[in-house]
Amino acid sequence: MNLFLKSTLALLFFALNLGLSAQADADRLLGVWEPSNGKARVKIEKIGPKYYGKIVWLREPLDPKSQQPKTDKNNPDEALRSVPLKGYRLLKDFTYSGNNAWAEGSIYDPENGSTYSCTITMKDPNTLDIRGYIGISTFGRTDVWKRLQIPAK
Amino acid sequence: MKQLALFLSAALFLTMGCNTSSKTSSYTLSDVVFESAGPYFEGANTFTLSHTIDPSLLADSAGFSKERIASVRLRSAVISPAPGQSLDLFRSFSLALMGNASESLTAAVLNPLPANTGQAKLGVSAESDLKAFFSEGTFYLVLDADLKADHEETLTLLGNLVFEITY
Amino acid sequence: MLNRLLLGALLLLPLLGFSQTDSATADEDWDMYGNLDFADKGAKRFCTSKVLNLSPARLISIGYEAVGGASLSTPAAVDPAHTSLSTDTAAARIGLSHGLRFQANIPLISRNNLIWQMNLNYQDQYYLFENAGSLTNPLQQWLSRNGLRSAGLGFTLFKPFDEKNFLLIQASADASGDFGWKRLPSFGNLRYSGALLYGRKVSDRFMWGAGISRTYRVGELNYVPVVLLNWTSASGKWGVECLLPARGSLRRTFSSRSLATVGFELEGQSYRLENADSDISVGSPNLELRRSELRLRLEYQRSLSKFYWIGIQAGLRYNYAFEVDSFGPDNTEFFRGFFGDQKYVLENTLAHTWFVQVTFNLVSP
Repeated sequence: MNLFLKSTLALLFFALNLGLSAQADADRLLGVWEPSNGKARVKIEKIGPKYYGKIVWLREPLDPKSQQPKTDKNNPDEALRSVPLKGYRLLKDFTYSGNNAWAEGSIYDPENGSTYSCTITMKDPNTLDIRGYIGISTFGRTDVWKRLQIPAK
Repeated sequence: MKQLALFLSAALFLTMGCNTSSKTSSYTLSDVVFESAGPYFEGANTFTLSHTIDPSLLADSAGFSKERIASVRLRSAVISPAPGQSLDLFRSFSLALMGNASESLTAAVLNPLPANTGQAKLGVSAESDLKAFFSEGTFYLVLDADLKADHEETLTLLGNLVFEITY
Repeated sequence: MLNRLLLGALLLLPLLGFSQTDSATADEDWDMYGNLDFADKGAKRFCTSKVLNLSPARLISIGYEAVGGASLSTPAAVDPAHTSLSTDTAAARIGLSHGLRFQANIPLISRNNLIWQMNLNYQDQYYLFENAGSLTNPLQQWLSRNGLRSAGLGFTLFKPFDEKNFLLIQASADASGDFGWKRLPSFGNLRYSGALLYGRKVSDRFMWGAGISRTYRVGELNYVPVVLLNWTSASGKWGVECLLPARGSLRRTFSSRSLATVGFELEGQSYRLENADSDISVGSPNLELRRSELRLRLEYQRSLSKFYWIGIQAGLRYNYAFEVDSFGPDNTEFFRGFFGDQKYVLENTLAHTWFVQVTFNLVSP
């Protein structure tokens, strides 16, 4: 086997591993997480190349007044106020930016209908820093989310 | 008086000449298939569909030009079950668009579903501008279908969507 | 040939290496999500510093205030030994007073187990006397020429211990008087305030706290108990927001973008009369104007665009104190409290009047 062939094969192998490794790094975000206030649980999943987080459990799933499942009643768009909160994607459009961080996404607060720019940083495999902010990161707040253990099937 | 009339006519003519009227055309997706592998559990189940813009789906003869798009709105979204299946299994539908380079947007919702209905006509958002998805050319349609109970057999949902493109 | 094929494969690798695994269609039993434990056994939950539908917290606030006309009566000095102000007594009328208000609350650390925020504030008030040119009383002349100014730097610390219990600490240093850009306030005349509260977040709609504060809201140094009360009704439409005795209000929420409050606020500071104007003789340099007012107000707040809000406030300014104190030759602050018998140099009478305030606010997440 000539030198060019050997080099090419080695480079091919290296690049393939690098690509798969980056993908594996990015997919560490997948799972079920709980915000610090314990009011909801959010499952982070992947659609296409981006990551989304949807509400899969609510501590208080029913509206106290109507006793019906909670909906997005504070959405600024009136046409979308009947979207059920259980199943609602409040984390949207995150892409892996390397170094344990996912960026260019947004987080929605159903309690006031506001959407904030957001970055996610994985502090350890079971801990996320979710920072929502307005404009610049200084005007923001970090919430620590903890991973929930999914029982093995 | 004559000069005033001439001036007003000239002004009116110039105004008409400068006024570029907008043009709209409809982009229709008929009987597109939303897929999701079972088994399904009570609650929101995600059915997805990937779509690449096909200029031949324009409802009129206006040529599709993503550079000229001013705005895109979802005008109508109707979800139907596949033959032999029923919408009575479902509590609600919400439809969102997601793109590789665009911010995802919820475009339509129906909650609760009326009982004994063969078709679900979703309430569309007049505010959600879907221009970025059409400019990108490829996007995902994500239908979150809330099931009333666990379900084992494969479910298929068909969508009829009409978008209005304004140039 | 083989080399070319390998090279082609290498060039196409970026397209192949990032397969789009879509996890959204995987099966999920929603019933299980209520029964999960943390992956880390030591993980804790913490309460937040807000209740549902609380008025939005202001990151930056810029505003302008106008206060209506009021009579100001300056009698003979109670203790003439400390000032030459005793040479005159006069009644004057303030046609209008107005000024700028600025506030910034910058989060330095904002995490679920600690919020540490820096607070900056500035406000001024200019007094437009009727017949200003013919004022003879030195204090009135001084107010007409300089107005009152206050600038402060402080911090607020919110420390939750768990889902229910928290600690709230506030501290600030304020410089108040007739200083300006050309003459900065003396650090020796700073006035320090603070509060320490322990609280409980009973539910997402109710939290309370109790503690002690060192305050100048009554115009002079005082130590008073404080009570924090934030409550929202089950409907979300009504609420109460109190930090007694400083302020309290009843809130009506119309939507996530607009609300109204009716209530009160006790405002006050102790202003050093530095007296740099050589032609206005106010005698002893160690004089401070003890100002305090109770504002009964109605406020409407609305989002103009996303996080940019406007607040419009109107009400009655009930003057509580407008006295002048002397610190004597040692220039040290003293504590009079509600039962002290130290004499004021001047006991002025400032009439009650209306006020209007408009603020533009950047509100926080």
